[in-house]
Amino acid sequence: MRRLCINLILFFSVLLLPWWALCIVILAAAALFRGLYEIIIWVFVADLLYGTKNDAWYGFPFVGTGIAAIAVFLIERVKNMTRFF
Amino acid sequence: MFRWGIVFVFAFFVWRFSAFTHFLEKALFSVAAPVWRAEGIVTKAVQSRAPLWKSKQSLVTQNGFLAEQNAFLRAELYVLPVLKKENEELKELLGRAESGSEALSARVLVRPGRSLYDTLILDRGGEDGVAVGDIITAYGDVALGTVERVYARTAVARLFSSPGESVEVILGEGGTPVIAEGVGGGAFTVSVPKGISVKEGDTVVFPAAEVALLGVVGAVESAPGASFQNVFFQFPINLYELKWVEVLMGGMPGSGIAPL
Repeated sequence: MRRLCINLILFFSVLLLPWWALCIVILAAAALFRGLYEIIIWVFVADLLYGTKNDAWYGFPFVGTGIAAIAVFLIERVKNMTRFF
Repeated sequence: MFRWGIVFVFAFFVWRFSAFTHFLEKALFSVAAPVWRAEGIVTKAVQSRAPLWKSKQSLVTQNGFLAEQNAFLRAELYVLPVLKKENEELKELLGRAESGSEALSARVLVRPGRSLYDTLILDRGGEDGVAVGDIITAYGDVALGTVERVYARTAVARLFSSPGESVEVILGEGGTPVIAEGVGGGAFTVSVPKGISVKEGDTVVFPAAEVALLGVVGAVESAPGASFQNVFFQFPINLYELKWVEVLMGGMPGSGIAPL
C-alpha cells in the first residue's frame, strides 16, 4: 500500500512539479524506500513527455533516465553499505 | 540483478524501436493532458480569488500603476497601424508579401520550468492542423520555437533557447547576421567581434517574414584585450507566465528564414 502511494506521488510529481522539486521528491523516495527501481521508470516517463533530441546531449533524449539510473544505483549501494538502512 | 536486467531489456527496446517509444508517448499524453487541463482550471480559479487576500492599499497602488501603463500603451497603439501598413508596403516593394499562413491560438499546458529541456506543451495537436516544424510565437510577433512532436490533441514545441539549439538572428541596429546559441530558460548567447556595435536594450530580430522579434540584449561582456565580445539576450516575455501562444501553421512563413 505504501509502495502504491509513493508511486502515485511520483506520478503526479512528474506531471505537476518543476524539475528541481521532482529531484527532491525522487531523492527522498530513493532514500526512504528500499529497491525503489520504479523511479527510473517515472523519470523515463518525464523524458518521454518533456524531452527533446537536443544537440547539447548529442541528440540523446533520455538524459534524465540515465542520470536517475546512476543515482538509484549509487543510493542503493550506499544504503547496502550503511548500517542505518 | 534481475531488476537491472529488466531495465536493460526495456532500454534496448526504447533504443531500437522508435515505434515502441511513439506508442508509449501517445499513451502517456492521453493520460497526462487531462491532468494538465485540470491543473490549468484549478490554477485559474485560485488566481481569480487571489485579490481577496490582498490589502486595499496595494490594490489601489497597483490600479494606479496599471492605469498609467494603459495610457502609455494606448498612445503606442495609435502608431501601430501606421507602422504595420508601412511594413506591408515595404515588403511588397521587396517582393516579400505576407504569405497569409494561418495562425492558431494554443493554450500552454506545460511551461519550461517543469523540465530541463526547455519545451512547451500545447493543447492543440494534429486534429487542429498543427504539424511538425510550425513556428510558435507569443502575441504573433515574438518567435519562441518550433513544433517538434505532434499528437492528436497536444503538441510539444522546442524553444529556440533550448540548450545547444542554434538559431540564425539579426543583431542590433546595424543588422548583423549571426548565429545565436540557446542556453535555456529563454536566454541566448552569441560571440561577435568587438568592432560590431551592440548595446544593452538592442533588439534581436528573427529573420522570417511574419515574425519580427526574438529577443532583447540584456548584457554585453568582453575581457580587456579580447577581440570578441559576448552578447547575452533573452525573450522579451516571461516564459514562466506564458498562457497562450500562436502556432503559425505551414512552418516558416513567407520566404522562410532568409539565408544569411
